[in-house]
Amino acid sequence: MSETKGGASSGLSEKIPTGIAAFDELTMGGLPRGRATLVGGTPGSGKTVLATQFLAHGIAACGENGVFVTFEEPPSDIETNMRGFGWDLAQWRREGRLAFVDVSPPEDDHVVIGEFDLSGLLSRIAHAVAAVQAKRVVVDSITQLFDHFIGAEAPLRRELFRITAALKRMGLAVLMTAERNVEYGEITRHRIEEFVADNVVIMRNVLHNEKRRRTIEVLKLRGSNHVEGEAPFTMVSGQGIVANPLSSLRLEQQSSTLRITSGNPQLDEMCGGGFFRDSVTLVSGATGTGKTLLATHFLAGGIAAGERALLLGYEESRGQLFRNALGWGIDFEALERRGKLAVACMYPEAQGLQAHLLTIQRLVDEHRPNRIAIDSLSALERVSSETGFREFLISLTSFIKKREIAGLYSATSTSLIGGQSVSEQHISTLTDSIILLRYIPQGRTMHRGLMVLKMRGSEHAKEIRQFTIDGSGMHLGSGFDGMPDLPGGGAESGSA
Amino acid sequence: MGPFRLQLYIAGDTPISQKARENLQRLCERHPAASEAVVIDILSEPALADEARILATPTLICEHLTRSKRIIGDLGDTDRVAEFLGLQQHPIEP
Repeated sequence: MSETKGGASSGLSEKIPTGIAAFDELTMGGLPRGRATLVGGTPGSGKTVLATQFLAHGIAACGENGVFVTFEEPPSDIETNMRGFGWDLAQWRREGRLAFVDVSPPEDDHVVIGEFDLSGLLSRIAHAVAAVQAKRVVVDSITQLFDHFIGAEAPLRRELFRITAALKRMGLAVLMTAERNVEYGEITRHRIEEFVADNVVIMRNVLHNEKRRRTIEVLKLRGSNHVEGEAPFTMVSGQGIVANPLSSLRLEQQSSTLRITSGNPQLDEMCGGGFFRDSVTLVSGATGTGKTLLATHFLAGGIAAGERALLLGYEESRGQLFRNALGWGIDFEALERRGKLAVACMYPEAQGLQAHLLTIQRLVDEHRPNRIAIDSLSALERVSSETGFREFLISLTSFIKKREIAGLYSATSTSLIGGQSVSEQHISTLTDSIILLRYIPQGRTMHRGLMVLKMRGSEHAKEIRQFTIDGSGMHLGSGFDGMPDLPGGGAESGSA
Repeated sequence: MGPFRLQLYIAGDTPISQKARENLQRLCERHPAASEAVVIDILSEPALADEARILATPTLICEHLTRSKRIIGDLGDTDRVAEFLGLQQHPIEP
């Protein structure tokens, strides 16, 4: 980052937004004017979408017209393919706000005999730029050019350097795409980045454990600072690329000392007076131990105190959740009618985790809840890679905290009476409080037990309390007599 | 066999454009079938360059019946050019 001279312009270039908020955060303002940025990625990694979004945002939001140079697909195909993201390129073309330079390969037989240059290309781009008074230029993809002139690398490099320099001198912000063969390793085929780009961005689409994970990374931003690391993103119809910046993953929120009810007075007591207002609580337990019940109490308790609540179900249908709640004396339907509660049920498999996160953010924006319950995280963990899940969890937790919402996540432990799943280990460091629900065998009976394992910033009861469930919900009883057998429960028996 | 329609696209009056023009002229002299040649300077005719989807210059486009071929470069090797276009040598009287 020491190099500030040597570019077409000295000093810092003005940066212009791409329309991808998170990407503009990574680049600390967007792509620089008078500079060339190379976006490398494997086929299907989203390069063309990013490039088009850069133009679309310029046209629709910044009053900056654009030129799209296409080596690959004919303009009509691009117009069709990008319509789904909400960009009407054909309309902008008719309005003179966008121009295409079509250098997609003609069907003619062709051969190279003698010396050539790319003045044809440069003059056509320059003509298009002048015709629409463009400020942004996209070239998609440079690699195609090399495939077109096999064996002519040296003149191509020289010519591309000349074209890039000319476009930079015109004060244009240039975005070029290039193909990569592998997700990690060589930056682009033909090492195009070495001679055309001031800035290098990498888009990845990694398949890991049968799950896709899309990320974007700024590798180099000449003469300027940027945020390091890969930011996960997703492609959303009607919007394009939506990314969550890594910076948002920092947990830097102020923590509140305000207590709110857990929905169960006895549990409030165990927690030293209730949950903290902007805290996230994990409820972990085997299937049937009462996680959904605890979540239901949590939501109903908030509503009783005048709050609004949101329930996101990933395991059970609405009908099932409503029946359960009614069985515990809580009428979800009535609460929804009063606008106090919103219940959304989704199949975890319906979309990737980044898309789930966006859905959650949208629902939160729509309903503005004071508390939110997610039942369960384990269902969501199934559809993602480990890294993807961790990123999702960090983003979600930080989002919830920023909005000063009280959160409750449920997670299913793998073993019936204890044990820590991978997700628990992931989740436990991120959540403020952990409540364990366990089956506890005593003699010939199987009891249910609850304990507060952790509560950040507060005293809490350390004992395991028995509880029963009836038509009015959960009732905490006394502690267990003697030492209950709690194998691997992470509690004081601690044999795990 | 009808005549070959030849179009040479160049970008301004550069040494490379000059070379291509000369080589094209030589080709036309040797092959009567290739007599209909036009030179288009894309700097003054940008719309024609768009229409023909010109990328590199010089580019020679040869339209003959239904087939269309293009040669990129200064056409230095006229024999190869003629062979690629399928031009008959002008019969030399014995």
